[in-house]
Amino acid sequence: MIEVLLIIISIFVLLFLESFLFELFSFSILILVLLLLWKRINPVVYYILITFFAITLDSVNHFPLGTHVLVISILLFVFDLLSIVIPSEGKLHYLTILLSTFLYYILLLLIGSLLQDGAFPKVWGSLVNIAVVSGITTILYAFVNRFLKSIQYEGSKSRLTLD
Amino acid sequence: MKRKFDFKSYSKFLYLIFSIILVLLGQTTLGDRVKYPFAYIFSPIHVYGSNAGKKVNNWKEALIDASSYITEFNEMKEEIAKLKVENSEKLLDYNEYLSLKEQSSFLINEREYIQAKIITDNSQGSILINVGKENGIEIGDIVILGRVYIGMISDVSLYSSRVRLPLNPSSSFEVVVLPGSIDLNKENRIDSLVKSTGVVIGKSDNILIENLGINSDVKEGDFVLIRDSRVEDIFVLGTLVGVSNNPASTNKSGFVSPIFDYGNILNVYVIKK
Repeated sequence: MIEVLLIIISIFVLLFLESFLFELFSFSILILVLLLLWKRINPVVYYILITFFAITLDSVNHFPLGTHVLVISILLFVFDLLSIVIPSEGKLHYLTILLSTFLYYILLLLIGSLLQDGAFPKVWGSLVNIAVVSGITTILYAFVNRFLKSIQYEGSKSRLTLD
Repeated sequence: MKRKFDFKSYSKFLYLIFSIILVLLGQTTLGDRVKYPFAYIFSPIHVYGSNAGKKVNNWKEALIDASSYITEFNEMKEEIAKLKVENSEKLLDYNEYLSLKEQSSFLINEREYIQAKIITDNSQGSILINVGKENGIEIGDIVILGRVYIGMISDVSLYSSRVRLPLNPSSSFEVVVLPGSIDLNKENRIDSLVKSTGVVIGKSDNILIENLGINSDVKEGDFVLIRDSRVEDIFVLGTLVGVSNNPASTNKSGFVSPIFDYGNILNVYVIKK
């Protein structure tokens, strides 16, 4: 029960941060959460949460229904493909994150415009901005990833000591 | 042998199919119905977050452009100061225009008038004007506004002069009293209209009028005109107020209320002798 309550509060906090940061730096916290939670929680819970949040974003941003969900599903495919080409362990993994984040923003721009207006948007003008934001997302991912790994390590160490 | 369905293996594929279905659903009217409850619940937090972001963004842009704002602010300050000066000049020009317009209706062609601005006025019954010897002003010149007597030049320097107002204690003139009902702009022959003669003396805060004929029917509101050899013409001084009714007295007295409040005049005209 407490988990459900925490998830609901988290969604509200995430939505606030998403709206705030997107307005301020055109930065999406969804992609960061998306990549951080990937393979860390139960896939069913993951998909439910992501879908719920994606539909919420479609609703509040007045995108056609399913825009964010479609972008995420394509992204997860590409992410897996990139993981085959680029090793998922080590520093090169962050290149996958960078490319995935870059693709997320491009896809959101493209698919959003195609579904909404039926026209291709002018992406060239936004490329630099997207590249910078993708870079920041990757750096943040790296920090949070290390932090989460250290927590996991500390947790396992304490467990070993207790055993 | 029956193979077990592995959700993890097909999850992305299934999710892609689901997303396509959802997009197709979004193209129908059902899409709006699905979105409505989400928008209803989450729109307030989205709007709040966006507004907060916008506010911070404004500050961010303001900080980035801080130097340009300072330059702009300084430029605007200069511009405001310039506009204020221009505006005050225009106000003075307009005031001068009104004054000239008024004066032109009373001009006597054979006389030379010098327009002057009042620099200061004091409570001692005198004012300073911005014309002096340089403009040919001499002691004893008469200062008027229209047909109203303002004062007499009592002291002259190179660029300014002191005008002694009728309020000044050292100021005294012979005057005549005319009915308040006549139109001074139309009436040329006033001799037959004179009710009484008298003398006005400045008392700093008012002008005293004395020696009015005891039998004259002077009353409040009558015009008081200066008719004095030093002025060499007839000018309006003011209206009669506070006439005494003492039967034991040999003459009547009262006060003269000036036509203008001397403190509010900006432009005057000096008649050159």
